[in-house]
Amino acid sequence: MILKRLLTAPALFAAAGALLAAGLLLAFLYAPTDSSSMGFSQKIFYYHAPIAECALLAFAIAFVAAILYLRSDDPRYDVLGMVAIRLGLLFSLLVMATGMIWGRAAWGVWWTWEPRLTTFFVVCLLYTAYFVLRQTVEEESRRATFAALFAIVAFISVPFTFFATRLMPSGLHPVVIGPGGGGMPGSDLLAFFVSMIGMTLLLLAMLRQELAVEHLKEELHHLKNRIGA
Amino acid sequence: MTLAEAVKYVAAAYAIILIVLVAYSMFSARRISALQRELQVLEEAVDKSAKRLGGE
Repeated sequence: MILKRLLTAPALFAAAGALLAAGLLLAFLYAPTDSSSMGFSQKIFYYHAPIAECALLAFAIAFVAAILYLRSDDPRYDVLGMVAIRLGLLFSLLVMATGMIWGRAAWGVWWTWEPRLTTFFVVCLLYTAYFVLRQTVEEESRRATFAALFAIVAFISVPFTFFATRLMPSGLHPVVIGPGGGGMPGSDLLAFFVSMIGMTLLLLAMLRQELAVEHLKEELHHLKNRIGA
Repeated sequence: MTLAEAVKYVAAAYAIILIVLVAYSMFSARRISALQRELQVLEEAVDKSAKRLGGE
């Protein structure tokens, strides 16, 4: 009962807000300024990396929802997958925008065809195509089946993006968490993990809210059908 | 890069995050209130027709 109350959208939004504010304070007041060539612009990292992880997490949720839909034919999983991909794209948009700004500050260019950026760009294109696919199929169960299959296939690109810097080190994008610890001092890690947890809670809050909206839309649709409005 | 230049980039990045999240919240809140209004109208329509049927 208590857990259920804690997992409501407003409670999750409040917890996310508090942790994100704490993460920001830790990043600017506690974590030292990067001594490498990145300098102060490295402060973008504390929200940029958690947003990227959340985008990939949202796509992973959609992947699991797609498998569950194909196994059960339960339309709730189709809605969950759609909402997760929508939020994944929103977070991806933020990653691309903040990444471009950081790239300009750190590398002197807005864009470079570096492995992580390129694979992330491909992920964005793939998941945008998911919504194009949904628009083209009218019949509900066929649309849900095609969308689920597409979400499963598209997810293949996600691990490539995550491991891009490890598999194809270009020297531009650093490995944050790796076997060697990623080279971040403890104070950096604290600010990063607090922001990371905050951002994950924000994603879950938005997911819950979007699901509630979709549920409300469905209720309205059924009510209209019943009264012939 | 000077500190002043770096501060501008950092501020721009965090401003974009804030703007997108606030825009999302506003869009979401508007969508919810529109759906709630629609639901209210439908509920009133259902109540009226139920009363009419009861009166006949």
